[in-house]
Amino acid sequence: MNASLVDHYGGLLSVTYHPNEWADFGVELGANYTRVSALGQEVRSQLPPRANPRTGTANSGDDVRGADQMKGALLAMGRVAPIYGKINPFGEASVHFQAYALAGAGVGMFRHDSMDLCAAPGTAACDSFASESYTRPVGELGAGMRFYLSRTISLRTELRAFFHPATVVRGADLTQPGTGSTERYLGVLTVLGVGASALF
Amino acid sequence: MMSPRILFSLLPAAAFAQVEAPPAPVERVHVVEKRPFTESGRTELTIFGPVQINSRFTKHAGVSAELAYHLRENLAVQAGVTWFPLAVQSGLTEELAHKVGQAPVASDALLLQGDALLGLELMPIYGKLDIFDGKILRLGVYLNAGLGAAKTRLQLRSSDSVGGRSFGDTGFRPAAGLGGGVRVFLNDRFTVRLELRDRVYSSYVSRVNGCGAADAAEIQKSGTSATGLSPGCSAASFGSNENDIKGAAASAESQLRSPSASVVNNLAFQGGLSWLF
Repeated sequence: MNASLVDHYGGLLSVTYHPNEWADFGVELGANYTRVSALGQEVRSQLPPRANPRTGTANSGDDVRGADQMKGALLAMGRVAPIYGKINPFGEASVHFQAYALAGAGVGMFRHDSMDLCAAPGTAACDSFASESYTRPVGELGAGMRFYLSRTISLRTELRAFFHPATVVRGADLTQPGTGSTERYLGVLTVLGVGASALF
Repeated sequence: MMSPRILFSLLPAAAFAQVEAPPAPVERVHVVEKRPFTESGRTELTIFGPVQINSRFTKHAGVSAELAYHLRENLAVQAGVTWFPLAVQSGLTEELAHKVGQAPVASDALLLQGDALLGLELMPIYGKLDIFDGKILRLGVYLNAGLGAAKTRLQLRSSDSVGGRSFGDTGFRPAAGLGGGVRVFLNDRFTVRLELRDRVYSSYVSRVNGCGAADAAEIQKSGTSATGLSPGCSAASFGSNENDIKGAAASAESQLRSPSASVVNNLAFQGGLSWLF
């Protein structure tokens, strides 16, 4: 939801054990199809020149934050569901629900496609951008609702924030890939998820 | 083996048993628990804290007050005002400006200072909940919609500029609100509300501080000595000194050069506390 420069579409498979009615813990495996968003493409199409057109002197620039793509993640997680209730949305039919909070930690596979740093040296307009793939630790926090359709099947909707150590290049020579210094920051990716669960 | 005489003697008893009235059919009785209290005919005052969640180019946080009169248990009329003391360009907007010299069109980056909406609320779904098997609380799921006006502004200078952010007034715009949420009754007087509210407002931007693009260009060039400005346009409205005025006017001119129009959706999550009286 917060990553305007990249799009994420994916799925999450979660297997957990419920030791009691209000808590469960387990493992999660997530995979995403990711790409540079339409806004990111628009940014790339209007970049300033890599060198001064009159003097030919190389310009320097910084990479843009918030462009990390999380391709996949493996996490151990725990969930607490302190609120239990029921609503009557359709006449006499009751729908039972739980509200829960979750937290987890694990590893994530990331790809970073730069918005403005080129992969090839030179002063010509950029047609391929610097990219990097890496694995980093990931933490997650989230909250959601589970609506029981029956004793075993439920629908879930939840909001999750994934936190990961991220880096961005600063002060790079725009005509020379691999230049500049690296600055660290905490990357945050928030996603809205809808899914179904089976209890057995 | 039973003799025929005994068999015949049992027949009248069997016939008598058959003429007895059949048992009454089982009736299903639906028991609806009487609500311990009703909100019908009562007034509700709510204080919310809205925070924008679709903050691509802008970010907003503020406070909102809403007065509702419950015509029935599931229908209310409501009037609300919201003020966003934090209404600024997002980190992404400022980062794009600094790093790649790009900015969203003015209509996409229009900031919402506040709004006033009048509307209706429908609460069609009732339920109950408990927390860690404690006290059982009633809840209602509601939808609301309203119409009104929004006060808007445009950011002219970024947060890391000398003197910090500065803004230009872009006036009032028609606005609408559409929301959905949950009301949890703590008792007969107080409720907790969690809501998702989409504030929609028109964002046609052609003037900042009453000045059009040509006025802003003239102020950028001449500062406080600019002449031939449109009625209602004043160079002094852009800052307190010559540098501020020229810098802010330059930003306004660049944003007004191509007049832009859009409909902005400001989607906010808001939590609040209500008092029923």
